[in-house]
Amino acid sequence: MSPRPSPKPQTRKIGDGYVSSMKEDKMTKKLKLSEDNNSVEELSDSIYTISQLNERIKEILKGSFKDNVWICGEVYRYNLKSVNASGYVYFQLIEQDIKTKNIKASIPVIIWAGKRQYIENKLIEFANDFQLKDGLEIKVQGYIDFYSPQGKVSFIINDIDVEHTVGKIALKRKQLIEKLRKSGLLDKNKQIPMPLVPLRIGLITSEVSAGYNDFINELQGSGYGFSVYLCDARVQGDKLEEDMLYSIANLNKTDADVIVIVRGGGSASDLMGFDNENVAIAIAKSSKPVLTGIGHQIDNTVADEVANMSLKTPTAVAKFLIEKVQEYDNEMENIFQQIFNKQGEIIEHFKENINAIAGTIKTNTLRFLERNEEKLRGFSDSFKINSRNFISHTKQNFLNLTDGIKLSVRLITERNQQKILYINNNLVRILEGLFKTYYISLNNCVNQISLVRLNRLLVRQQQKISQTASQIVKRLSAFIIQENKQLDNWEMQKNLKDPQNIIKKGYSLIYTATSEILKNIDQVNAGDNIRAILSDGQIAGTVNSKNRKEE
Amino acid sequence: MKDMADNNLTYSKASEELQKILEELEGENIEIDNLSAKVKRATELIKFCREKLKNTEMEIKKITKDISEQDTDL
Repeated sequence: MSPRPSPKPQTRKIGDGYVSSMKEDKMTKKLKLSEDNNSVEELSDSIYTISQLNERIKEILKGSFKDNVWICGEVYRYNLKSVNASGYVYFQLIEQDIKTKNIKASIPVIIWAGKRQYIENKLIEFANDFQLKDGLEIKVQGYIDFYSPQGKVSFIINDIDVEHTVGKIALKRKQLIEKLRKSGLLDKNKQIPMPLVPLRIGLITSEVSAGYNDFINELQGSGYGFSVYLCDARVQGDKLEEDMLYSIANLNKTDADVIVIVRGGGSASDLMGFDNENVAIAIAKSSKPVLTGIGHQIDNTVADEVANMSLKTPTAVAKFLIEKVQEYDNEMENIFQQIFNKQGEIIEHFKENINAIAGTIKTNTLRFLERNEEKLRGFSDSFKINSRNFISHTKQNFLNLTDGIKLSVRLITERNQQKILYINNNLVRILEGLFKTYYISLNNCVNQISLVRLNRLLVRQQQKISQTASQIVKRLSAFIIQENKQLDNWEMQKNLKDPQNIIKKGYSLIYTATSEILKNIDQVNAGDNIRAILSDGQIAGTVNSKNRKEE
Repeated sequence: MKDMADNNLTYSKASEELQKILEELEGENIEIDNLSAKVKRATELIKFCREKLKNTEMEIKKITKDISEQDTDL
């Protein structure tokens, strides 16, 4: 114990039962008083100095309590700034009214420098980062002291029951969590589905904290276009509740996808505020999912329990959000890639299909042609036979016809024979050419056109041929009839001019000795032999004289 | 401020639509004439996502306390 900050009465070992430097008589008197509680009158008899009074109070207090007392209370107005240069710390322990939350009782407490280290170590040993702070309910051992210069009663802490303290925190949390569960608030925020792409973030944190920088840096490093609505809030101390409430309320009015509450980075951790019931309710009732990254080692705070998602650090929250966006991004890119590949496959498949179809068409066409070729050939053959039969038949007819012509022509005289033959030959040639042309065109038809058309054509051609043939026959008959008439005419004229017929009428042909027909008298002289041809013979004689006809 | 729901709907719609296109392409009934239209739509969707997700700078807006303390609905 350092003597410097301690006021005078404390230089003595108060708890040790040493008697002060007061005078013996007064001491005795006071002791007597303490033995007889009803001696008010006696008190009024003597007048105390303040120090005497305080001394007396001190004695009474001391005598009324054991040296080591255990007390339970909630830490109040604990402030490290109040740590005195010599290292002792003072604050208050309070008891709240369970219902009104008003302070029902309080007592100033002091931890002297030497004990402070011991107690802090004990806390840290139990849990890293665990230390005294406001709102913490602690169970401590110590003694009651009365500080005379200020007339102030204090409790001097010598030791702490850490398990009790931790247990109390846990119990309090447990009770609050149970309460939230019963009112349906515990899972209320968890029921809000996490947005598919949480790019707009409502951030509640202290702008100057390492947690803020960790969070923002992580988001920035992701390369995604996050936008952040920042609510600068105190994330420890007694203003935490107020800041949390308005921040959550404000962010619920923005288009943020999620609300993120982060803190951390520093060593000091005062998480009591995150066990606050109102903060928990605000988180639960938020219409946007709340994510926490409060950073703690002992246990989850109630805020963590009630949040949609609780992560250990600000960085972890940022990573989670990035992963969420990335997941969507990757999925989209992946599907797109698949679509792209599929497109290629489909086109390839389509090409193959086309080729296959083309192949089938080719095969089928060939097969069809092969089949039809046989048929066509069969047809063509039978057609050829038919055609040949028809043609030879027609030819025969024609030949018969020409024979007929020849026969009738033979009746005609030698003089006209040549002409007739010429006509005859011409006719034969024309007809043969005609048949040849038909034959060729029919053959072409066989090779080129369908069976039906071929059939039709064949019929038509046959009709044409027979028509043409009958026309030819008709014309030929007409020609022959005409020719016959002509021939008859010629016959008649020939008969008229035949010398035989003239001679029969009494005319005579006279030939010279050199067998020239005698046409004038200069051809002969008297004495020349001549012969005369008569119708039924000839006679011979000699020229006796010749007399020229008078003009 | 209200387009949050719509935007999220667009993200999920984009994803659904893209998925649907893939399913259609994987199905046997896709016609070659529809293919290019589908792929074009898919390209539009992925472009939308890329622009929304990546083509924007990160921004930080500060929300001040005074915005609205009066109508705290919590």
